[in-house]
Amino acid sequence: MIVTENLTKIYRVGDRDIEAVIDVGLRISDNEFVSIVGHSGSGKTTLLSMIGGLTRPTKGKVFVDGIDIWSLGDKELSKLRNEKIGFIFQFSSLIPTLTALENVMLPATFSQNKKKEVAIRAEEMLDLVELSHRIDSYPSQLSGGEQRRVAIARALVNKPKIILADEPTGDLDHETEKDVIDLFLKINKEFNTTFLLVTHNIELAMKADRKLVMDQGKIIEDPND
Amino acid sequence: MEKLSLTYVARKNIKRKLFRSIALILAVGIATGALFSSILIMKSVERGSKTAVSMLGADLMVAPTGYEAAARSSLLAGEPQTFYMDRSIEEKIAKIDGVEKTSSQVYAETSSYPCCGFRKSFLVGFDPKTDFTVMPWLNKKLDRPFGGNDVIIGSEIPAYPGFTTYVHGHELTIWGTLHRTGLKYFDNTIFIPIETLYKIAEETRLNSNVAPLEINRNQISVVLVKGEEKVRPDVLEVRIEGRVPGVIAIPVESVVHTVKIQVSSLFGSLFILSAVLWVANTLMISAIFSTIVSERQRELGILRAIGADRNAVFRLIILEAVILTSIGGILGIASGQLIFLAFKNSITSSFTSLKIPYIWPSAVNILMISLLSFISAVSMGVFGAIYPAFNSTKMEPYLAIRAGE
Ligand SMILES: Nc1ncnc2c1ncn2[C@@H]1O[C@H](COP(=O)(O)OP(=O)(O)O)[C@@H](O)[C@H]1O
Ligand SMILES: [Mg+2]
Repeated sequence: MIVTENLTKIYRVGDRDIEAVIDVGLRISDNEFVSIVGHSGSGKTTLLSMIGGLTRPTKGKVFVDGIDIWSLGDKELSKLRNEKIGFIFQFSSLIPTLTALENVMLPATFSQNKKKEVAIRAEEMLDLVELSHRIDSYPSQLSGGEQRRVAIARALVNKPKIILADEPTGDLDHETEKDVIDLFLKINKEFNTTFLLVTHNIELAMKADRKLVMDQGKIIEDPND
Repeated sequence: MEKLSLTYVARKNIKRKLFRSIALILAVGIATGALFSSILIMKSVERGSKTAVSMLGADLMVAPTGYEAAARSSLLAGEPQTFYMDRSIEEKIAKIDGVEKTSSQVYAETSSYPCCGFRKSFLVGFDPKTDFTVMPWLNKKLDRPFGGNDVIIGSEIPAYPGFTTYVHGHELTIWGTLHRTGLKYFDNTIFIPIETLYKIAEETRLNSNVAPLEINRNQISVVLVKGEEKVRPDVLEVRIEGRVPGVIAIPVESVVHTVKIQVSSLFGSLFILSAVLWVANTLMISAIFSTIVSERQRELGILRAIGADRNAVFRLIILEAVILTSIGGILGIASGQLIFLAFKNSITSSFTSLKIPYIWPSAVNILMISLLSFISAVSMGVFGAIYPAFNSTKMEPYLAIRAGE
């Protein structure tokens, strides 16, 4: 369960304030698949980053399973990101010096999980994204779509309750994009993972349980309101 | 597959820019090698001169004025040179207040050994009746009292008690051998009773078949002086020089001091160089790691997003620097050790020719010097990377990830 209260982010650039996100109040239930659409610059990435513990809100609160995440210290917040949240970014986010399998295992480096179990789970996840045959490949040897699938496997490796995906298919071709979204839906059903997906593709956004529309820092359309 | 750890990730990062890593490793290696060498040399010289002084067991060495340098070098480099004064000087010194013991020695020309099977060794006449510097270092000896035709030899001379030898045609028995000291003054010397040496000198003047030994009876080279417990050597020095004309009293401690200064001026610059290299390398590492951190800002942001806390990112950067500098340090120390091992003898002899006593530190000491040099190498990494590493943890993950967008 994710709850935000008056979530606001103002960037100060020079002597100008940019209101990236303004007073967003959201409730996202467990297992819900929520999509967010909106123009570029409407604040989607900033909103996702505040929910995921990547940037501190100027005002307002984020609760993940009842925990006020921005009241946590760096250690606890990092642990929460590590265990409860999986991120999928809009660009290739793999570490170029590590193989696909090592990239998928990476979150375990920062957790208490047993290395052996993680290795097994990492292989399972690569299997899930249909990349079992490429586990020893380096990111530079993989196509864009394959890289994104490795990133998805990495986001899943610690069995997070929440996946935050920021335009994860923006740079992929149509077919691949559809495959990725179908994979998300499958994961959502199979693992009961909550999804918050930012996308430009309205067609894909429609597949979600709930579609939010953002504009100029505000959520202007939410079926639940 | 290897265990995925921070160290593993750091090692993979090092391989990313191989040339940069190798250059850094070499720079650290050179600095560490220089540090290791300079400490090793200074320790060797210190050990050499300390041994020289303590082996002698005397507080002062009295020599004729004008021969201070020769006296010092005979003690430190074991190259007895020919300078003489009258034996009566010893009695005058012995009477001075605060003097506990005195003993005379005479140094003979060292080049003329036409027979005897000895390599070029030094000939020192000592007085068995008053001696307090040679006898205490006996290793093996014959089971009878020391006699007039007996000699004591240093450990480097290949002979044993009971052997017979000839010095300028005179037959002598090797009565005892000394412990190994590492100093030529002891190790490569034949100590012969002073009276016997005078007799041999007289014989050589009568016998044209043997090389002459140019020493006259009652000539001595130095008087070794031991002061009473409560009297400071420098006080004694002033007293002796004041009451006995024509001599110079050299506090033996000061010889070590002089050598230290001499060596510092020679090899202190190597030490200063390694200190300068340390600072330069630390700054270079700092610059390189600032670049590394900004190059990888997005990656570090991603690591934070997937659960690395500030501490983990900090450790990752420091680890990378420490791995690089450790490799450099080990390389520098290993090549330093190899060079010293390969040129051990020529290093020792070139020091000896500079009249600087040189004894290799013990294995334990070399280990300590290596450890110290290694710590210095690692500290370059830690100090160099600490600021960039700290900086890399300050940025919010969101901003780090979007950096360069
Ligand atoms: N680090 C930043 N500094 C200043 N302004 C920023 C920063 N990040 C985002 N913004 C601004 O905040 C607004 C929202 O940006 P963003 O959250 O990236 O929107 P979206 O993801 O919907 O494109 C934009 O006007 C953008 O220029
Ligand atoms: Mg965005």
